[in-house]
Amino acid sequence: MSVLKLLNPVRVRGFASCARLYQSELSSLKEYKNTISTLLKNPAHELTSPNLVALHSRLRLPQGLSYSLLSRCLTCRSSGEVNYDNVSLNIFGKSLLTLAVTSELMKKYPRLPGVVLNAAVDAYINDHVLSNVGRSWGIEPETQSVVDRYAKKENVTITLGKLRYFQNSVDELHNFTENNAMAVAVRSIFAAVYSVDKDFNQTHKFIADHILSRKLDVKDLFAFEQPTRELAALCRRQGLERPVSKLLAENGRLSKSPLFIVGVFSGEEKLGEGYGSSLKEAKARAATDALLKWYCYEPVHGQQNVVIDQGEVLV
Amino acid sequence: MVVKVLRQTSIARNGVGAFVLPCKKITLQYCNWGGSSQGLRDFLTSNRMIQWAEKYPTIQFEIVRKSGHPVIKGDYVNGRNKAICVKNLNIDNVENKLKLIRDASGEQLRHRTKNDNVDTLNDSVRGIWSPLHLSPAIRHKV
Amino acid sequence: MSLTKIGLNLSTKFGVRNGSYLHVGTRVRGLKRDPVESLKNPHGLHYDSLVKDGHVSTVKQGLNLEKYGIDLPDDIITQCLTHKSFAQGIKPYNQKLSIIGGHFVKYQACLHSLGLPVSERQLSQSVQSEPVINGLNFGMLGKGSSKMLISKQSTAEFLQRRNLDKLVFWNKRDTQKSHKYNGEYTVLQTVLNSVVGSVYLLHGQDKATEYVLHELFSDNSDSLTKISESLLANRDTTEKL
Repeated sequence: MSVLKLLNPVRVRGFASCARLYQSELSSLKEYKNTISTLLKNPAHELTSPNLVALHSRLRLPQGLSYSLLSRCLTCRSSGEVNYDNVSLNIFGKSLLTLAVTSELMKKYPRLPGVVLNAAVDAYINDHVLSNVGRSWGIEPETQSVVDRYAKKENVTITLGKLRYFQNSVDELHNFTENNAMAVAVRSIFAAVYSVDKDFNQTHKFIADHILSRKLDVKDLFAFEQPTRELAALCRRQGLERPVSKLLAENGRLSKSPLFIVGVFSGEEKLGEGYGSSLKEAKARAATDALLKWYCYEPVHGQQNVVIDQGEVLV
Repeated sequence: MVVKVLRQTSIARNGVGAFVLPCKKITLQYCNWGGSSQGLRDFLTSNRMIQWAEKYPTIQFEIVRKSGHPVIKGDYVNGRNKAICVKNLNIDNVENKLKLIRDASGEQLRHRTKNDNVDTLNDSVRGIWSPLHLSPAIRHKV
Repeated sequence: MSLTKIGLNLSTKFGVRNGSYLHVGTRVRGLKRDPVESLKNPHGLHYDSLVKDGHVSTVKQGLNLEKYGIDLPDDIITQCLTHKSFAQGIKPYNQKLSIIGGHFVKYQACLHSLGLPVSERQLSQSVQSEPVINGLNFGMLGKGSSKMLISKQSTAEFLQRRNLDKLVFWNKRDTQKSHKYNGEYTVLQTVLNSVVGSVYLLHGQDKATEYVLHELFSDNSDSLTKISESLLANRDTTEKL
């Protein structure tokens, strides 16, 4: 019944006249939309978006990095801005970041096992971390649709200083969340910084300031399944004496909460120490401690030759 | 078995390396008619507003005309905001409130109890005292 | 179980004599293998003969390291040639060198792609686009040719043309099956990446850049650029057929 009502010719005709009435409005909306694209695409045009200017100075970006390039970094392909997006910048930014972080970690911790090294790199530059970096830079996602912005008569330059990843149409890209978009934008900004003076050292400094300054305890990344066995294998490979665990101190053995301190020794050398409420637990902790001391070894910067590790032991 | 990995995330340390001011945007809302906005209106028309804008290019300033009492609102990088009503304040007091907004981190203010005044990501430099590492002669034994 | 051998291990602290059995022949689970037998690569080359018989200098010559004034120690070259799968990882292996080297090669490949002139094909694809940013051509990144440049096939071909694939130490999963099943190309890629990685770590970034640009991405017939081009051309023709 309601469908029939909707299809009533009188109503439809009325709608048509309404549409004609709003035709001028529609065209000016289209014009509004086009202005955004042309502003973005024209690099000669000096953008003066307040967000962009603030973001530029907040990050202390080099002068050569134009506002339109910065705005391009914030424009994802899913926003529907055809051929003027950050996809290629993102690819290069990712490779820049991975190289910088990996080489820094390898120089700092030359003996990290391969999987742990990869996990450590990931802990610095995965999407989640980079999206947090983007938020701490004050990048805001654009959450309003074009029509809303048009209705509010918002200045067109405002949206160019925001992270634009949302498309008004239905066919949205799968699995492309705000976090992903933010990470893509952040990576693109690193690539854009490189493109200004094409100097890896300058970009590395920028990466060091914003990414490598983050805190990560590599010891938290390890999970040993059989630490004593692995330690024995390590000692065998390194030509050390077989590791022997010795009880160093104990308290309340017969009580409800006993405490044991066990040290693991290779000959006279003490490799590690651990505590536990049972002898077995303390022994495993001591072996883990010794292994962590081996794998998380940090050479003194600039005083030694480069250490090239032979890889973790496989048990 | 080879080493297994636990996923971790690095923690941001603003100021180690680069420092980004947590305050990203300040909105100054005034009324053109009401007397309570007189101080903020004075501030906006004086040279001080321009000086502020020049001195802090990292902050985005927005000036809004809206009826009602005047409000200064700060937006912070952690997603929170802080709004201060500046009704009937003179130009100097308005500027002081503006400084307060600028210097805030955006975190919720909370009272620190006694002995809760250190907040750090690092381990204690001195280490933790252990009764079991004393010399066996004076060690307490159960 | 054809031959048995008894080795004596006198190295423990208290001088206890441990007799240990070293197994030769087909693999038996839980038995220790004799190093003479097990330390051989799929081509039958023994691990110790690498340094002894001067194969290391063959590798150095094959990779043209001296041309760029790069001197890698023998043990590092040996490590670069050893994959993690070889002999259960008891010998130094190239995993981490290849991680850093791989990232560096990828970065250099990006730079290589950024330095290319804007092609006509690119212009016809996107009329209004602006691929050039600050003089760098960002349009080619992530496209087929850029990916092929440092793909597994290209790097494997690179080493095969220099006859270095027979000097690589790794564990073939099944000798009867194809290279795809055994992942031979992946292993060969780690070798090249780890050579670049060790140059990067020991001689610094400038030297590594020079090596990658002039040896890997040069206009020689045996460089990665030419190999990837020919591989791409082959693939196109087979697709057309």
